[in-house]
Amino acid sequence: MRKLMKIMAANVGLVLLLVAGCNETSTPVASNSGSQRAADGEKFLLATEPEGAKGVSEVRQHVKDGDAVVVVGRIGGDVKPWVDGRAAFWIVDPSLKACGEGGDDDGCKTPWDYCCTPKEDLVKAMATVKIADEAGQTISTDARELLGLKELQTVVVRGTAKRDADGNLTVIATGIYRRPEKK
Amino acid sequence: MGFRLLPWEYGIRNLFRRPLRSVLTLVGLALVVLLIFVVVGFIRGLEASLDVSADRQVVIVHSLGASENIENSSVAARTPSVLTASLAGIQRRPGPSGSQVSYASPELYLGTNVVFEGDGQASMGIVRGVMPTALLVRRKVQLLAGRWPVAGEVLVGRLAATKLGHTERDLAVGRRLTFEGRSWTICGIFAAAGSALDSELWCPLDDLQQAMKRQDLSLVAISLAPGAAFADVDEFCKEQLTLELQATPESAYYESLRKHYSPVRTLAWIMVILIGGGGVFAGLNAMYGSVAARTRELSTLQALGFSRRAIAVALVQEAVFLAVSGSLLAAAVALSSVNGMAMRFTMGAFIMRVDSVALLIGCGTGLILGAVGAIPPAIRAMRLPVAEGLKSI
Repeated sequence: MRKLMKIMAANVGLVLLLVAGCNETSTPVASNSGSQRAADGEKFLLATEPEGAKGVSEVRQHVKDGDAVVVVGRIGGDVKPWVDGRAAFWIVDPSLKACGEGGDDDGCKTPWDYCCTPKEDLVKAMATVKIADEAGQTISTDARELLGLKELQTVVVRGTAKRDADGNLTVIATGIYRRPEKK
Repeated sequence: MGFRLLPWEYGIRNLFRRPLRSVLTLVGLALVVLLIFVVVGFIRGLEASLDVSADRQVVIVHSLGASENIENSSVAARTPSVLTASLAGIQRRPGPSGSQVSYASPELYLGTNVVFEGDGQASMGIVRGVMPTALLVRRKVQLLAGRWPVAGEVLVGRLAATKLGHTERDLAVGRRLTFEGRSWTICGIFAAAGSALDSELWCPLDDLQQAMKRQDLSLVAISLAPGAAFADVDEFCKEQLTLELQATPESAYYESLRKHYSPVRTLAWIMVILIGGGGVFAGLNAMYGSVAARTRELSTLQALGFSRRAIAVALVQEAVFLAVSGSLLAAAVALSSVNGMAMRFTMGAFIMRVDSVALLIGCGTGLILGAVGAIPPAIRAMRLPVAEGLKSI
């Protein structure tokens, strides 16, 4: 009887051990070299503002594919105006007011999405900025890390315009000037 | 251990000396553990459905700002051709006459009222207008019965009946449904490996567009070729400002849904804790009663030379044995009846899963209930003076 009871106890313990399962997922952790990336971005940052900067809306009206441009805009246009892992982002014409800047603070947590502006007006005042390497490929580093940019920052972009049949404007940047923020 | 334990059989025989009390305690413990299995099975099923739904190779291209509410997304009808012409990273395969077939699925996705044949009541169903390329992108979809729909026909998911609150017979091949002002004949049944697609109704895209009098799409789902980067799609969408496109990896979309349901999961875990806590108190009550009824017997054991610690260990052994037996009984019931049960939910339907994690939590809780429920009464039994105990009635 004692032996039987011990066998039963051992079996119960074994069953409990068998049902123990675990799912482990592991995600690879990429090693970041933020300082290295920032150093790589230095060559694209301009020390002084280029002359003749025009707003995005004005540039969109006149510039043709392949023209050299100097365009000024504020980073924004969506909750996420960045391309993750690429040196590309949206800019919006500085004449448009971000949420809460019109005087009435609506408590918007992401004012750079310009959700208070009608979409059809916003799209006409936006452009895509890309920083490309010598081969013309967009650099595979997030623009925030590469250039130290953040949402609603005003930047002046010097580069070449790319227009498509739908009128979308992309600026292949050769230099970016970060305007100091007004205090 | 330093002291002589009571024989193991003593605790087992005691349980059979009071069979009614033992059975009632066993059933009570089994019910508590079964409730825990039900709640954990619900959580695991919901999480598994969201995990399985996400395909890491698939990117959803939708309208700007609609990543959390695809039903409200609207993209231009030419979007699929723009994407396939411009993105090299879309997976392709050889097609007829030397052409290339792109793994791009234009879809119209909406929730709408569905009325069953002969039944006046409407149920909220999820309808997806698709083209045959959907089977290239939605790799988990398999046809279980029937065939691909043609005009006027609809394919139903394996869990669509649960989602709509009807029986599987109501959604058998050949039955008719009405939605978007038209009648549709069920031509087949598909399964999607327990993903959210299992609860949907699929019909031809152009048919649904005609029924709804719209030419736009909700989204284009594309499958990336091996080695292709999501950033390519994201960058392209950002350049197409006039199309107002946004790209979201399908895994990120379902991750946001998972976060959306985290309050439900949190509430469910709170229920598990409350049920377990209630079980502990019920076990305490039962064990206190058992110890009180055996005061003279336990005092006699002390008089015979068994230490108080040995008696306390014997009481805990009894309780743990009952708890483990109750847990195993509950596990058997849960595996046979709860596991695999279809559950209707807001996003569709999913299957409850009593998997290894659920079993570990349920059986572990049962074990803890038995141990924790026995320790205070065992300590109380240890403190009782022998002379007083022998005189008690």
